[in-house]
Amino acid sequence: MTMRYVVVRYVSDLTRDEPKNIGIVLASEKEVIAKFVGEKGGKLDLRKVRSVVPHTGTYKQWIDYWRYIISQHQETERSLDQVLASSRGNFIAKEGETVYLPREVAINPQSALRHLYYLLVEEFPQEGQEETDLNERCEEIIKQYELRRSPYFKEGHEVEVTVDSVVQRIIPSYSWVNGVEIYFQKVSLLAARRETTQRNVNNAAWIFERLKRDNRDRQAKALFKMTDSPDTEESQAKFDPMEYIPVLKRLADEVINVDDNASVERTFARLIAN
Amino acid sequence: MVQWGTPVGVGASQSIHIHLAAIAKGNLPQAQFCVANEIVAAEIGRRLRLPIPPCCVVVDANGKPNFCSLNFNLTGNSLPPIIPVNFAATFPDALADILVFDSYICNTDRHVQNLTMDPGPPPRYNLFDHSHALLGGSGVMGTGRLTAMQNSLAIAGNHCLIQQIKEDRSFGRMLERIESLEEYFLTDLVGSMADYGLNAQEVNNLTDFLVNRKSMIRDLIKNTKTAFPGINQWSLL
Repeated sequence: MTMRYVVVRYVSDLTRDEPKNIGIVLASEKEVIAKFVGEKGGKLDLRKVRSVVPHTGTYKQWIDYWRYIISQHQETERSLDQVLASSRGNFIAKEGETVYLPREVAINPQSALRHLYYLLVEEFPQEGQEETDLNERCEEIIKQYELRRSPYFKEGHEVEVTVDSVVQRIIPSYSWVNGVEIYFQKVSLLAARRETTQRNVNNAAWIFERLKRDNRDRQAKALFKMTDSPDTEESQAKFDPMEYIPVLKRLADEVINVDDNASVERTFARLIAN
Repeated sequence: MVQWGTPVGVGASQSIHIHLAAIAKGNLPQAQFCVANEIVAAEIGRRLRLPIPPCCVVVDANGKPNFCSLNFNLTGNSLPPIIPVNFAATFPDALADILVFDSYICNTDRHVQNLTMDPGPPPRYNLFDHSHALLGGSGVMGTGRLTAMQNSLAIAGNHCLIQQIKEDRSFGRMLERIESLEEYFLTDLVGSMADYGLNAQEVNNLTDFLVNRKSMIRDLIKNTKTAFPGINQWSLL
């Protein structure tokens, strides 16, 4: 079984002509599917793009245009031809070279797309990538609000709690102690890994519960990030990690999606203002 | 795309030398009217206040004239072709302007690749590539094309925005501007194309064509309403 695909590329400097692959458009028998740098869970995260294409506004316009071509109800070959014909200046599309895929990958277009994407565009994801993503995002927030400049902000700070006469030492991800004690715990929610998500949520819930039982005036906040695992077959049954949000909400004073800029702003701008 | 140089050093306005990037194209055996088409269309378009990049003619070392258009991608990143429905939503007032202008210059080649839009803010768009307008770029060219186009709307069925326009009142602005183009401007502009490949007959024919057509466009649209499938009710024409 053969599938035709196109590699889209970005050339930052036309004189040097050193293209970087930024996406794959693949035609199966029935449809055209694509994956571009920065796309995750149907959304385009331009923060992931900036290191490859500095002018993210133009990049978004190109992705919108290629997605528009793909969405047109027409023959799959024609869609690919139109993507190829759209090449202009820094953004070019090139017919894909022959690649032999493992049989179990080749039988499913979504798997083939993912395989080609990680072969030609990004590295194959490592186990635990979701933790890295959440850590990176938290680091961005810390820098954005200059939290480290405040003496009230601590990272990995040990807190002694006494529950049922037993003294325990727990280490929330971050703390802010300025009259009021506020503790933040990072929680990765992974759509394709129920067990990992469950472990992460249980860990956060345990920390929140201990903190509050020791001192009800303490504030506990969850910093969560939803990750759509890239290395999971689409056909594999997924669960909705949002089902864990009520669990967190029951124990935490606030549950903050680190990818929701408004929530982040509400929480951290208020924090540094006080 | 922009290179700032040294101060000019004279005058009170502290002028500075600057290099701006441009795109050049010359006549080819199979596209012998390219430079004239581009210059005349761009000059008229800019006169009508359409966002066509500033242009000029640069003669190369072999004496060959080249149409040069300022490269409007000042960020250094090429913009993609437009998505017609998005373009229409962002620039609703520009649809009629572009359609009337393209009809006037007989541009049968307005496709999604020779329009760009930058959503901004502020949103902007650019029109470029008019090498197939006026005297043509393929098929019947020169005076023969002008004759063929005389009573034709020119844009019916092949314009990337023609499906998007929903009302006719907005045609008024560009129609008025075209109707008020001065004869001296058109005569002088086309006359100067003798330097870029047009013979005397072609200069005369193109001048007459443009002078006559400016007063015909309104009726051409009025008589070809079916070319605009999105306009259900006509109120101006």
